Amino acid sequence: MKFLRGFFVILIFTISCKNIEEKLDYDQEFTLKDSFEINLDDKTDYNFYYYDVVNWNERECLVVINQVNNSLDFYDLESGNKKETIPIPIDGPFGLGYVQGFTFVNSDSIFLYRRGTFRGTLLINSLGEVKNSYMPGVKEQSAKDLINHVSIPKNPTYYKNKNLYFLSYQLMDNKNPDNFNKDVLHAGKFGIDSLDISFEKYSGFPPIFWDKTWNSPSTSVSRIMGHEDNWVYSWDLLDSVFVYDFDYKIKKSYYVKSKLRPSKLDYAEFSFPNETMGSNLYYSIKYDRFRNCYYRIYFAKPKDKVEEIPGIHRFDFFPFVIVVLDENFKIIVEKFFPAKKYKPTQSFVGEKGLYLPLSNGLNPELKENKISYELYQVQ
Amino acid sequence: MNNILNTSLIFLLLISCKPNAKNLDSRLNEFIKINKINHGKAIFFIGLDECPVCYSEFQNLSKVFENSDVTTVVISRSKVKSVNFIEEIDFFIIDSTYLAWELKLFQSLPVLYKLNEGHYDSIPINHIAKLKKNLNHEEN
Repeated sequence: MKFLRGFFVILIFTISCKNIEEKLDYDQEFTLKDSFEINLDDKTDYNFYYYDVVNWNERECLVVINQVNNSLDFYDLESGNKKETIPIPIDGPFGLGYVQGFTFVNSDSIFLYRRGTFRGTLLINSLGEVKNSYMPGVKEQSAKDLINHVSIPKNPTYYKNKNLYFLSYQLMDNKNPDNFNKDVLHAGKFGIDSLDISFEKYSGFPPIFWDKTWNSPSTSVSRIMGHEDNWVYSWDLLDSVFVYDFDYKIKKSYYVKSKLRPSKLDYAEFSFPNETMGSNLYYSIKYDRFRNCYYRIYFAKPKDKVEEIPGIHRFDFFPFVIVVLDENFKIIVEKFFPAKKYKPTQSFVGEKGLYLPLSNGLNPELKENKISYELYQVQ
Repeated sequence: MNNILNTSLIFLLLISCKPNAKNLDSRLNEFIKINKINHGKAIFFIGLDECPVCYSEFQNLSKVFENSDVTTVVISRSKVKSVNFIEEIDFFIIDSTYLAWELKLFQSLPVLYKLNEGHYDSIPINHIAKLKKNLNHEEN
């Protein structure tokens, strides 16, 4: 009897595995090309939240905000060792308190952002010296002065033509359907000479969101600068990706649904107060300028019950798919990854491919003195 | 058909009531017993994983805890973060197994538990000023 039960379990497991492979059958493959490790000291946490890949003294480096040490740390993507540490002013006249991201322009120009406002944004050089502090005037005591600007890999802030192009996270009551309308704008720019802040009128919620209630994970968006400086909007809830030219004059949309996402969605799952926990949603989109393609991350439903998943690290419990798109947003290939091993929210693109960390909090092989990565490329 | 539905609903209701049998005091007392905390002390739970803001907002807790008898429970799998976070705090516990979450004492926001007329009150703490205010109130 036990033998029969075991046989059926294996049979079901085999069928279900086959299903995923069959569903994700493409002409091309997204293959493991290499592995890589970053070595950490005892003042560096293995969770990287604010980071970017930059050119530092002719070396490709991953630059990371180190919260424990209050510094910007540069890791060589060849050796995996720390090359440079720049202190971040936390206290004193230019003290930032909590740093909510950065923009690396070049080794002598790095913008550091304060939480909730552009007032006090700093420009520092490679020695950590403050070269400028920006204080846009408070024209009126209004909510406009409070801008929950966050620069993270899901929504980096870009520097171009003396403007910082940012994305703002909404601070609003999800219970009120009136708060979901086209006038709630997400993207804006801050002029570093003019000190003007303005919002982009096409960056509001798409119509499907309007006049309804949603739980927070479902309202999130990933906005990046892609091929030819186009703006790419990947809403976590929507299969379609919206692409605007740099000046928002031309808009196109592309249907890029993961084959593992159900075709018919019950939107009640994503409505307030139902707690979706962030699965069955896309997470972010990344542009690979070396291969001129995009990677879109989709979090599938976990096997664990929602009540067994701590909200504070829920993503660790979700299996996920990386959807690879060509420059015209046509799906080239999709690859499925199991839960509890990888940390796709902390992945990044480098010259050698997509770096996928194995620093999932539930990975039994996780070490605190290094981050291991798998490097993937389309074949 | 309606009868079956009603019976099923009552059955589900009965089942769903069972896990709630443990009230806040007993869950907190279980945590206190396991971690050998002095009963009656205020306990502050803070999760550092996936919350970079929490780490920065609640740094320098030792200054806030001056003259207050509080045990801090740092919920994190990262030793680097926990060890650096609790520097200079006198009374702390590192919960790397998420026991606080299992006992439903912590969801995502930091929370302070204070004894009030023999029972524990839970106070969500979204910024350090609120923590200060609640601890001062305790002294008064």
